Amino acid sequence: EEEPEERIPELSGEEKQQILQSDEFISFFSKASKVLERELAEVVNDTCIDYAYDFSIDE
Amino acid sequence: MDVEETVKRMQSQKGVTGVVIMDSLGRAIRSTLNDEETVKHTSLLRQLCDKAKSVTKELDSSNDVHFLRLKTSKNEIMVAPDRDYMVVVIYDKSS
Repeated sequence: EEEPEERIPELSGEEKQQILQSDEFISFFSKASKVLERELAEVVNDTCIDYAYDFSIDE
Repeated sequence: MDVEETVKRMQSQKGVTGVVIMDSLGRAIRSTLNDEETVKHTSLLRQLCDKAKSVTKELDSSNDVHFLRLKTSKNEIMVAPDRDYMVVVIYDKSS
């Protein structure tokens, strides 16, 4: 049986602004964005590329 | 620390198709995606993150998730979660 999806009301514009300006959020975001930007810089090194893939199959 | 400026900088990186910030209940705080995509991403990625956290905790109760990187055939979804908030970046290598 599927559980009913609980409905959580969206944040109001004012609530969003309050969060975005709070010290707690800013300290979280400054750390998280640094990690994300470093990960993004690494995205070019795709270790999942299949170098053995035979492209002629697609043709 | 300018949140808006940082979101814009991430969004402008080559291949980045979306940046979504939400709280731990999956409520969007800031998103560069349209409304429909934002709702989809917040609700599904919150579920994925909760699951990843519970798996980690069950394996070792003193452990916790720091970062999630999901490589799919079409894109990469990166999630930086914390106790109260999480940031998601979607990267599409074909774009």
